[in-house]
Amino acid sequence: MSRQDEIRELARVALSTGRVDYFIGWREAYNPSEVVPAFVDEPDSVDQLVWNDLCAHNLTTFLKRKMNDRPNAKVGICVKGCDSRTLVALMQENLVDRERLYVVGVPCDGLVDRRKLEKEFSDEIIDITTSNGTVSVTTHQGLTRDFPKADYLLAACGWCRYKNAVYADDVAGPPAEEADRHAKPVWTDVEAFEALSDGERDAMLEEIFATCIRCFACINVCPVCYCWDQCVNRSRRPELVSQKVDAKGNLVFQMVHMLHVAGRCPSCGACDRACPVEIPLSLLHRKMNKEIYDMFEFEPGAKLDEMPVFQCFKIEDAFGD
Amino acid sequence: MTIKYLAQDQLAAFLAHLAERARVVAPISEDGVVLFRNWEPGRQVDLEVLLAKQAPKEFMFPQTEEYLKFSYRMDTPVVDESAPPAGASDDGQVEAALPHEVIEVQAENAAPAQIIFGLRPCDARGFVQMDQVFGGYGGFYFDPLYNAKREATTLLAVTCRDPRSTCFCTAIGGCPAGHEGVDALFTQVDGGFTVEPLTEKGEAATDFAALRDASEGEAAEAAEVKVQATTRVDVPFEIDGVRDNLKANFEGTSWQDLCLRCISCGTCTYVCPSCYCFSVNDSLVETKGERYRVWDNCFNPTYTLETSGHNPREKKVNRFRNRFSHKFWYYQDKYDSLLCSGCGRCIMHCPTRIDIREVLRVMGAPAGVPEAAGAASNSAELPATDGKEA
Amino acid sequence: MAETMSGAAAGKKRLTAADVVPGASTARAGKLGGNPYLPEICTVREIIQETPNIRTFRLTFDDPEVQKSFSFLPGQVGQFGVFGVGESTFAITSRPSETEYIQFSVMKAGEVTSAIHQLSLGDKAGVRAPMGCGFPVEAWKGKRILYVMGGIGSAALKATIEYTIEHRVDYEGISILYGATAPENFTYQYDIDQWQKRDDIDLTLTIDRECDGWQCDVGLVPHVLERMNPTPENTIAITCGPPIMIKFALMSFKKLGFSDEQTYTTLEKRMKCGIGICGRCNVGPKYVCVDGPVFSLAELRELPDEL
Repeated sequence: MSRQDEIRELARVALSTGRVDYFIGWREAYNPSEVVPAFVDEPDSVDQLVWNDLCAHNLTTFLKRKMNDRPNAKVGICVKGCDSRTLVALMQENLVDRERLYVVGVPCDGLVDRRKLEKEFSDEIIDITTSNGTVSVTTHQGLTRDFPKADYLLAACGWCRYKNAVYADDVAGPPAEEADRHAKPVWTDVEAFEALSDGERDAMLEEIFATCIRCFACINVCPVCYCWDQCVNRSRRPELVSQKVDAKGNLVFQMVHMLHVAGRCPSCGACDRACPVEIPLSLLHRKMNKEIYDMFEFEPGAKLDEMPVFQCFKIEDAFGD
Repeated sequence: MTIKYLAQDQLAAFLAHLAERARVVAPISEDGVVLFRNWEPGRQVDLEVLLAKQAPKEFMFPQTEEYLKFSYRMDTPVVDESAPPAGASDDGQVEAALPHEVIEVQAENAAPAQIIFGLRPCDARGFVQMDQVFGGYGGFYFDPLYNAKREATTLLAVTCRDPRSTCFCTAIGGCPAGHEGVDALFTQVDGGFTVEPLTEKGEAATDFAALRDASEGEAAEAAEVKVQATTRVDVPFEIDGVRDNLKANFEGTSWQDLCLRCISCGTCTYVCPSCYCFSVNDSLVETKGERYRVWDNCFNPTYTLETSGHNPREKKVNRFRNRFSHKFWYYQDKYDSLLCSGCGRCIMHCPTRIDIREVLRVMGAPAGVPEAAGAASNSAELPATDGKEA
Repeated sequence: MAETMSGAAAGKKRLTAADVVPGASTARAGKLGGNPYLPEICTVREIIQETPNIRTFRLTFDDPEVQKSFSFLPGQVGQFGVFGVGESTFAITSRPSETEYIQFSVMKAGEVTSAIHQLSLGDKAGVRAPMGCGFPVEAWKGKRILYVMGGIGSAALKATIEYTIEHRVDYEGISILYGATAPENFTYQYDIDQWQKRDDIDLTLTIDRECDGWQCDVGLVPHVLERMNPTPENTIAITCGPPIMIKFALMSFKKLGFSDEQTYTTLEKRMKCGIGICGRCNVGPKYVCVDGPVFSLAELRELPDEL
């Protein structure tokens, strides 16, 4: 059975036995190259669920409060390794009711970066299929080109050490082989950023945040951002972040988001993928996570029985230098 | 107005000519991201990608726009010792002249000449649709900020040779070679563009030596490009009846299903050529400040939040319902115009690809849902301190 | 190729920047002749502490021409604000015949109202007025007018009450039912005293609970209203107050036989521009700022249920 079939079967059983009222997975949108979150409430409808190299969405954001408000519903959900860490972060803070959750872990060998592929074409992409390490892309006007998947992985997948979910009730198929979770994480992209001079870094940040349109997509798609109308970035009394949309204000806006998710953000990359103007938000979050790792050797959302690092302290904690 | 022709290798010279008299803005790619940016000689206009990530509405309607500047000071009147004291009481005591507050307020409205080259007919149509609300038609208020920029801007659109699967302009009265709002229409043909000035502004902008009359063959090719493009635009729903059905389906339960994967951000609104809602805030540092308007969106959870704490659109599903109802029913009722030009940007950029075509197919179709009860009769829903479902 | 020049453009004149006087507010140059975002600068001349959290402000326009020519219809509102903090919508509560000042009554509740409450005599404020639609007092001539209000709801009806009292002969009757939680929470005590002295106004004051020294009625407004048992015959019923009071008052009107066409109220919403452009204060296709804030129940029934 393929993982896709495993997911469908687990969902079908969970729905027909009443273990869940609805099941969250992924499905195709208006063409096979676009995959979106799926909400299935009938066992007969599980065939819409897919599992392929485009299933990037972190579905745990739909468990947070005020997103879909069905407070007493039992929910089934698919999580990849990265997604499971935001789920664990929500659990560590008692923000999801484990009793009403059915978690299907989906082992993952890495997903394709659709945006990187888009830049290879000026025409619209309407189909993406992968097999045996090759990604086949078809455009609206009928052009097809192949690419080696290894060169078009999502950046986050390139250094992933959590190919299997850290929390799951059932797993869709055999586990994926993963790098040693105890080995030091890879931070090459962050190191390149750190190597920039102050002036270069300021210029880079100014340039990228000039295009930010304050749409809040990054904030709303983030599974651990749940303040909604109480968000510091929206505060009126007092006004804490200027509501004027300019590069400086936008950088402050993003820093507020970053610092508020610090310790709970595993750099899943959902913010990055949601940003309509392609600001490299993941890079900044990974920089933040590198700092946290260097200070506390803590990886957010990795272990359910850990407290989030900024919700507790130990006497031995490093105090910075 | 005759059809002209501009050779591809003359495009840069043409834009440079325009740039002498106005700011020129065009779709330009940087790191693979196409946005409308300032054009300068040497920059490449990208017309291969159909749509820039954002519509060019920020040039008529900036995202942040300071429209009042003010400064406070204290005025202490000078007392003339030699003159008889004004306001002296009977026993000769002088009333102190008290300091009082003075404020200077100035309206700002910068509108330098600008030319937008390379927008699509759907983008231009978005401006025409926004004109209804900003334009001071038929007794509605006139917005001087938008209109000053609108009058100072020339729109040079380029026909969509290869529409996307997400386009649906023809379903709602538009066209890949549409003229609504367009000052001059450029169509890519072999070796260059045919150029059709459609308004006085278009004539003025295309008054350039390198533009010669188009040959019959070039004109015919352009006509063929337009016909081909138009036939390839999808018609995903029937627009007739959508308004009435949205009204009838206001209480329909399908809204809840349609909005499940919506994350209630503002992406669709901000990339849209015709969404225009905004907020107003003041900024004050010591004695100087501004009042500015800034783009807002009806998915913002505080959009309708009242000081009392009551929020008529506390729930995501109500905010979701409002956007589509505004664009295809409320705006229609008020201004006799749709508020959508079928560009499909909302579909392309929505983080979860909420599909406006799907929403309209479902909620814009008769669904057998009973006519929604009117506001006042549903007394159970009148404001209370509820709505906190978390 | 479908081209529809639709919209409000069809057959209607479109203004251009040349039609608008630069730098003039709409108070100075008319609704369509000025910049509707530009406030008139006003000075605070008098502050009356109505109740512990409600103050009435009397302002004069700094521009004497504007002060002289300013007029408004009963029920219209204005955007009253402090430069540097913001504006909010308030009913104009001065008499429409008042020429010396413009008056707003403000309950301290949020960002802008708190800043307004910090204004002192002589301080500067911004006013954009008049806005919105007023009550159809002309059409009501010859009818009995029944005002039912609670708390700060009196502000929404004050100007209209004063207008109909001033034109008393044009109306068959005026009845006012005003409820407050306690005796100190009535606004406009000084005007209430005058109304009580008149024998051509039917005035009922009520408080929620018994209180020493209180001579008038006791009971919640809707209960007292039903006790009064007013006839719907040739009568217009208007209500304004806290949402819960409006809800039950409307139910009482219905019980007493008032039709939707005879019943009026005012709506409030979060507002920003006040001129029907920024998009947020809508109920369905209607904007509360320009199509309201006055609505009859018949009009409300046509609107989607999203109050």
